[in-house]
Amino acid sequence: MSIFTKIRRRHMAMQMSCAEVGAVLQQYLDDELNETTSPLVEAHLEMCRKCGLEASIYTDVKNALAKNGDLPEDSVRRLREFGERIAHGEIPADDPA
Amino acid sequence: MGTEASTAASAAARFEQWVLPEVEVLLRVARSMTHNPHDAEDLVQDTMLRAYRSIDRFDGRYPRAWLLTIMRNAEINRHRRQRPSLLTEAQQTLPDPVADGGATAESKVIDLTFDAAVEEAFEHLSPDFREVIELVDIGGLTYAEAAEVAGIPEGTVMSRLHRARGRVRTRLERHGYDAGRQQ
Repeated sequence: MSIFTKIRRRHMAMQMSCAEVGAVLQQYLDDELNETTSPLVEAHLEMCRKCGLEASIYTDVKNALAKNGDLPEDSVRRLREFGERIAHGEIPADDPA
Repeated sequence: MGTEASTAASAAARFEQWVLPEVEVLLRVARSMTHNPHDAEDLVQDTMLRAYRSIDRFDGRYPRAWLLTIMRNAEINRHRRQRPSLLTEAQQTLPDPVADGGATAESKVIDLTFDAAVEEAFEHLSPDFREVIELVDIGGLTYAEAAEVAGIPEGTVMSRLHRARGRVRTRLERHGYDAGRQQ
């Protein structure tokens, strides 16, 4: 990283306080933050050890939780086949009621 | 006859374009909603059938949100149809790492890996908090999509997520996991 880039990143990092970063951290981690604020948060997290650690634990938690979303391949395959059969008219989609 | 055939072909093409790519997301959300793998598959099948029936009335914008709304309504109907006696049936449920019976509380704490500790903390959340975590962290939905499924405002999704994760974190710290450094 060049000295110019470092100065620019530090300048970006200082545009938000730790409290401001804390208020939007969850949105940042969920990729729900706008394109203007997101790079400022990213720069702050790089430069601020305390906020960086805070982000790190929530990232670890999110990753651990996401593992519960792993799906059984046979379920997905059965449902895809079911959907394809609906699309090809092999399963009547008429409302039974 | 020619018109009927072209209508069916058009419905099939739309279904393949809008519905089939969402099967995995639908299954994740269904598993969150039902907590039962068989019910989850049934719910996704029901959702796909309903989607096919109404595909001519759908304008093609935001298919995931459209499908999740259908799924939510299908799940509400499923609960209405389900008689209380059926709820007591022995059902195969999704793995519950906490309700494992034999182990003592002490041995559980000692054996906790980070993932298991997170899961244990998750299981201690209230249903409202678990729901948003299931939809966003496990189901991979956006806040807007989760709001649609849960039937709550997007701001509520955000605030519940924030508080839910805060509680998970507090519980992890009690188990000795420091911020940013796994034990």
